[in-house]
Amino acid sequence: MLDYKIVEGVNLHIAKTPKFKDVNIEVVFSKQLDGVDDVYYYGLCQFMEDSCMLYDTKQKVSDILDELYGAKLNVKIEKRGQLLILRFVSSVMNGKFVHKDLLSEQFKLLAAFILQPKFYDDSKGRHLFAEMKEILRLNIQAINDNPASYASVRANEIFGDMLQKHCIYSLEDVEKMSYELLYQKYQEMIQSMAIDIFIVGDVDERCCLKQVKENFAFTERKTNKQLVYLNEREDAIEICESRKVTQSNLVQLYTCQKVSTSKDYASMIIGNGIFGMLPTSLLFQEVREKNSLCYSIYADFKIYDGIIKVATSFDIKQRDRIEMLIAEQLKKVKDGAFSEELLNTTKQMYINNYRQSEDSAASIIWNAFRESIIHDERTTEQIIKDIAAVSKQSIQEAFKDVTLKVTYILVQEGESHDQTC
Amino acid sequence: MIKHVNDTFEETYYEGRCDNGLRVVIWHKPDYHTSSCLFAVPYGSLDLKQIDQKGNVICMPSGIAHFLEHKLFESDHSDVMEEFSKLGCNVNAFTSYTETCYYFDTSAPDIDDPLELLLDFVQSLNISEASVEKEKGIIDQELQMYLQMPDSRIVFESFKALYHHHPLRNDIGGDHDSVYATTKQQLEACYHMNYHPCNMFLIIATPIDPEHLFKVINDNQKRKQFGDFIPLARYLEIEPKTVYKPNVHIKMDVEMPRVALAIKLAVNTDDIMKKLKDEWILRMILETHFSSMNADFQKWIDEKKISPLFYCDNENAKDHALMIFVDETADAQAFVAFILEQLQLLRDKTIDEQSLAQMKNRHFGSVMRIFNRVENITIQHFRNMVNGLDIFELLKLIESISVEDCYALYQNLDLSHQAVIVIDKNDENC
Repeated sequence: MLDYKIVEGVNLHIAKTPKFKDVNIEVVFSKQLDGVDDVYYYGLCQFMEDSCMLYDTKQKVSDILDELYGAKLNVKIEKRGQLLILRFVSSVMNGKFVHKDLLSEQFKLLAAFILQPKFYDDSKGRHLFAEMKEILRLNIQAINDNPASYASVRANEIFGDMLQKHCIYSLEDVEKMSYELLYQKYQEMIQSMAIDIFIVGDVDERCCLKQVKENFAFTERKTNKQLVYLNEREDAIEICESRKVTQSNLVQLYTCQKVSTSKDYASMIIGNGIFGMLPTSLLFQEVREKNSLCYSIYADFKIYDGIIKVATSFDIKQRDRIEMLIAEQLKKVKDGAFSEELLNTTKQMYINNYRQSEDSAASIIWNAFRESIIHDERTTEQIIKDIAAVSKQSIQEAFKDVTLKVTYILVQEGESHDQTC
Repeated sequence: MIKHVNDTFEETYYEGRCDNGLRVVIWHKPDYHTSSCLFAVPYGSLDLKQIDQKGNVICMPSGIAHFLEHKLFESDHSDVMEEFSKLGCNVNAFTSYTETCYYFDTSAPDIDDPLELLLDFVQSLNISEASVEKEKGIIDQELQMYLQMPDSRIVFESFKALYHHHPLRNDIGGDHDSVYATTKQQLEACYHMNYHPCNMFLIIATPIDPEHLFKVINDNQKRKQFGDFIPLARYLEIEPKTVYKPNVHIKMDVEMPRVALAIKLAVNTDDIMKKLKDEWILRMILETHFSSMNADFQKWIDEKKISPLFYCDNENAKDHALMIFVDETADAQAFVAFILEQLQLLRDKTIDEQSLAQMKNRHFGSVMRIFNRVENITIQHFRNMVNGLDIFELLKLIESISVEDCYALYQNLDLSHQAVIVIDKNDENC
């Protein structure tokens, strides 16, 4: 990846590769997550993805994307660790396949959507604002209608700390939104958020640099991006709520005092792989394969949050067995009561996954973004070396602080009442 | 092996066939680290009743193809998943209405061992009564999971409403009763009838030398014995033109009600190419009219005729054809009336030259994008191969569609067989 500083706070990163048929360009805006007015950033995604001044109707947007051979242009929001990230993601066929200069068209398209949103026509802007609110309402309802995602959001809310700020907005937040504040948030995004531009594809670096300078005259900005955050919670809590669903959902959140920058990060990753991230993991093998208690169960180590999340769906009658089995598997990892064979298999799987990530444009971009923030200059080969060095003892040491803090169960109605268990 | 080179896309693949009938395709992707291998059989949940050339009909419980996938994947003699993991490979499997696929991907520079493992575990079935019984609880939980998702539930309920007898009315995994009724003997019978090399496809996309891999595959197959291949066809009872249930009302714990208008279309030809072309024609007509390509689309959203989450889809398969329009709205009646009005308007308009050209541009790009991921190449190639063409021929087929083709197809569509499915809020939500 070649890195260029355009101005203070605005950086360009180019990965030249012949692998992909298209050119992927992402313009990434990021700021520290404060949990204030987050709904506006979700709103900006909808507002800015829909149309812009140059392509001011959905039809015109559709036309230009098809003119560029079914190009993709999306605006996405992500919350990772203590960062709020807005990504303008574009993918356009490499012009060499159709003997056209599609790269400059791609830059113009991105610039039109990022720099000329519909705020600059008050009537059209307000019209789009009303539609944006409707979409935000529908999106939150869709999350609530999916029991597994609802349970996940509730567990984060109950945990508190930074995780609570990862929760999506509420319907009340949407109702209170104002057009003026949305515009103010847009201005803040353009003027003060950190900007990273990523280009992945078979491109000429000098041409890309020229295009960036011509299309994006971003001003200097002071940035201090902090990605990782160690979530904390003093007491442990169990909450049961009920809904008319066909299956109960369990989400457990554990603190672990480890993040991606921790020195024993590799041990934590492999330990979690043994615990619950893979089909060979103890959770999958014991809860699903040996006891047939669920279809899916996993433990996800949130590497920027210092959290392990365990989630599964099951018949509520089996709740005690499932919780007991999860606790037993965690104890096995803490005690080092797993085979060398499982340890080696887990290492193999992660080494494979690291190498495979180099075949995905999205992974290449995220890895570069992460590296630029946490100043992680380790190569894939160095990471693989760290993984290979993980031992049973280092996993025990890394896992010693893993502590259950939140248990949230969404129960099939009729089986229990809303209450603190 | 036969080498196929496409200069436009800068892609190369090799095609060969083992002596036992197994068809092998290897895409050479020298710039990639990842190899992806897919071993697939065109046997899915719709094939629960099959007929041989003598007219014998074999009936199985619904969901048996999916059950077989679960069991085959978990051999009683060894843990297949663990074996693959030891080799640094991600392995998985899935069953759809028409296919069962087993696949792994890995960045290992040598894939001889996992490739042989894939061939060996799919080509042998060793199950016990106990392991079959154990699997039933897992599958039942999987089915329950999908039942509580309103977006997948409304599609499943639409198929159920349209068809009297066609197996599309069954969920891919079957239901609680059919899963618990499935026996070890039935699973073994299904396996031996369908998992014959003559009926299977191995598709690989890899940076590794294709000639070497073909030798590994061929040598592996030479070591195995298979019985004679007895071709089976999907057996279908005569399906009335009418829909099974014109109105279906379901209560779920949802905040926003969902509605689907499903239309059962006639199956007019046995010619697979014609069906495929018709499917693309109808897709392009619907995509052009019921999307932002249509200037009225914004007006429909503004006037709340549809919500921004509206979508439509169509299918023109071997033995069934349908269209479906889905939205989130509390006024199902108004939504249905609006869609039917638009479908009627399309009789005159259908599609113009400019829109058709735009659709072709769009799909040229979407086909090109398949080549960005080795996993996409294998599954897309398999699906096209079952239809008798490759990815490039599919593009030619799309390119060959004319406005006249579109007009002719749409004028002859009988849109009168409709079902309306509503997922409504429970009366008392928590």
